[in-house]
Amino acid sequence: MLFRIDTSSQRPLFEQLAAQVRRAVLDGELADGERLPAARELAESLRINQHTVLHAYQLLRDEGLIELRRGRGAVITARSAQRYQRLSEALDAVRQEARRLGLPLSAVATMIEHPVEETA
Amino acid sequence: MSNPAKQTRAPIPHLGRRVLWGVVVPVTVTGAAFALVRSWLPRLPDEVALHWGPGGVNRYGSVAELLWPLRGFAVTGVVVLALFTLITGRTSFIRRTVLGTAAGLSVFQAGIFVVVIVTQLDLEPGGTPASIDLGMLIALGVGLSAAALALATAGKDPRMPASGEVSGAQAELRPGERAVWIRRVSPGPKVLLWGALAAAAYTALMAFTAWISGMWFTLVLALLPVLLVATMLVWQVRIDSGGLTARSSLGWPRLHIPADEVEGSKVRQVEHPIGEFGGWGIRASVMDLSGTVGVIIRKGEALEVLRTGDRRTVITVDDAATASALLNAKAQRSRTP
Repeated sequence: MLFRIDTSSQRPLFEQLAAQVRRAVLDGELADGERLPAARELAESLRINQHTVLHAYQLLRDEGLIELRRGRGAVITARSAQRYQRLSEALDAVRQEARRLGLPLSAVATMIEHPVEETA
Repeated sequence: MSNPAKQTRAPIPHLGRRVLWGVVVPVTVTGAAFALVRSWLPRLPDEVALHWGPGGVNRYGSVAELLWPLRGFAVTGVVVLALFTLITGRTSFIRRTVLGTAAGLSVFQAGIFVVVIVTQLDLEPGGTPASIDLGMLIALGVGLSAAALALATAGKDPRMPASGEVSGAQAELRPGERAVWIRRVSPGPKVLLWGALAAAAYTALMAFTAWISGMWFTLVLALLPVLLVATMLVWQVRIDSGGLTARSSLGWPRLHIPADEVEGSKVRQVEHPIGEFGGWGIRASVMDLSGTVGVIIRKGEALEVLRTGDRRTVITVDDAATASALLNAKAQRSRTP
């Protein structure tokens, strides 16, 4: 799969990498049991620290998306895509609603990251 | 192509090394073996062992009947491979393979020739010659060493940075953005399963044959192709700012195309692996022996890379469009520092 990182972005590099794996799983580009590239190789190619890649992999492991196995590296967990099924549906609904309101998705993202305080 | 400079192809590199390992060494070694055997002729019995089977010698005949087929094989091998070394070898992979085969095979064949004769020197008529197993094993070992030496010294490809437009679609990369594309290629699970079963059955059969015949030499020889096939089944293709790197899961064989030598790339289909490349694995194209290398793991979607020096690489891989666009973008980047 394709990994891209933007060194000028505010977003941490490990988060950028993790987000791409998540999306590839959701899109079905990464199937169950498929192996992710070795952390060392990915780090070399992107000219970043190996620990950054490992950080991303550990994050994904904690989310249950991948398994880290000695000798086999990072492997996509079985039925990982299903775990995201409901979130994926909810996101579709949000996108549709945003389009209906003419809201840019970046604005929606801000609303998700900084929810309005409930005022009773 | 419209570019007139393209009309004449670039010369194949390392002529000296190709002539040394592909012509001089095989001809000298084979010639020496012929001369040695010729000097031994008076010491051979009238009737000599011609053929060895599981139970030892199983056919006898005249000296001429023994010599002419051996000479025929040796000369044919040397001539065919010398021809290949002269007309192929634009990429180091092909050059190394051909020179390794030419040097190794000629030494191995000369070894067989000498071993078969030397075990029968000064033999009483009808006497049983000594076992040829050890001699064969030595010939194989020396042959493989010669092949390894030729392989190692066949020479790297000279650097040939490209100039001019990169052909094909390019991925958009913002300044400050880095990208890598990594993908594994393997035959379908069905092919892998049947392949593993076939390899296991073949290995068992060969081991059994070796066990009942006591000819372990043939087992070693019979298992070489299995190892060779195993190295070629699963590949990983990587595209980053260094260019394209394809390597088998064992780490070797390995192909590398530096980004600045990429003239362009595109997606294509490989419909006939046998027709175009003569089969599967890493191989030279049948149509363009001198310049096209294929990593052909399956039928279908493939990435085709045009490289300077009239070289072309075809790799069967999924998502080739993404790979091609990224490689072209990296090639473009390498030209505008």
